[in-house]
Amino acid sequence: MKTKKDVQQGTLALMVLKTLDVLGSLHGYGLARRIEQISGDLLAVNQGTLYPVLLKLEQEGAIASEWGASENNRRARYYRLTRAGRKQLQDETRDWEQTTAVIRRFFSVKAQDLR
Amino acid sequence: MRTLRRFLIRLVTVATRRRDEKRLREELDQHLALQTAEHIRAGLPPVEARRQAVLKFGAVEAIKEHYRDEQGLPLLDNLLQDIRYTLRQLQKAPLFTLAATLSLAMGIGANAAVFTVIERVLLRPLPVSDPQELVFVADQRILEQRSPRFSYPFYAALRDNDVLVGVAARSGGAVNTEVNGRIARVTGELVSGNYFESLAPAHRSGERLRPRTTGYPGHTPSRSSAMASGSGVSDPIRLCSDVMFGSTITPSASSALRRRASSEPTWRLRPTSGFRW
Repeated sequence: MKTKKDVQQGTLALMVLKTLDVLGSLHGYGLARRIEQISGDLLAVNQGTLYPVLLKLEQEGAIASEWGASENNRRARYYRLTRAGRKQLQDETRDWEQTTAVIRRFFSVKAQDLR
Repeated sequence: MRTLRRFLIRLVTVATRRRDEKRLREELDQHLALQTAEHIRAGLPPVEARRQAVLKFGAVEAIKEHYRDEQGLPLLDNLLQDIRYTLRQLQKAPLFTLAATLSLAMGIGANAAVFTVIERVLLRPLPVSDPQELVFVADQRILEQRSPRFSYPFYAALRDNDVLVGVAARSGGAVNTEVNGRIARVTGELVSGNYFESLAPAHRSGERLRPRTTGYPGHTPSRSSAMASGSGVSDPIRLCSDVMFGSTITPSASSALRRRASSEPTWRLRPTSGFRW
């Protein structure tokens, strides 16, 4: 139960960092919509779970936030990537790509390749 | 580093008990408003749009709870809460608190007392060889005196017997001493020359007293043993270490030594077979 949540939270954090890296400053709802949009309907995550992840990333110094006006003229909290967050994104991207590359090799291996 | 930073922030939040509830509520409201507006644009009636937005958002209370946990340190929070609750409950029932505290105190006290006895008797006996054979002997009539003492000839007579392995005499008192050129008044023990031989402690640094160093009443012994206990000594620890590590202590006043003329005897008994006291 716990390990599953951890993995999920980790990947969600990576998605948040990448989205902010590409699109710049976004508020919570905007982020949620973008993540949904990019992942298609494959991701069955409640939008609300995003907020604890945002708080955690902010505490870690990967993102910063400030109040700003949203499109419906209300106050919204805007999040942006910090320098530390950009570095964290690079590190995690590299880790992720290495892991997926290794797993891909295992999936593509055939019996005759190993003879 | 990241983890440390996060931990410190959470710790501060717990310590100051400052929760940013308002921020989360505002963010959630804004989120739901934007989602509802989008649903309305897609053609849903307002009530249904709002319902769908909430559904999509997930269990609001659970998310709030999760958010709060991320803000502080739930473990520490719960602990503090429990302690506060405990104190409140104790305050509410003072009689019960008193009874519980007293019974705990008595239980701990009794255990400590029993353990002290066991430790002294079984676990850490006196630092002499065969402590179970060590006996302190005094005469009732002499003990009733104001300052009980045996005379030296009496001690000498006790010492020269066939029953006891050895009889050593001791007498307390303060002496002026000179340790490495420093004058200090120390409380000590004047003991007979066979004191260490009779007790045979496991180890002790410095030169041991030997029987020949004992002087007869009226004579000044060439060496004596002093245990500094600190009264009147400006630097008792230093003096102790000097004594323990082999310095010679020279009694600088002979007046105190005259007390040796009479001593309280310590008898060391080693009963012969079948002999019981």
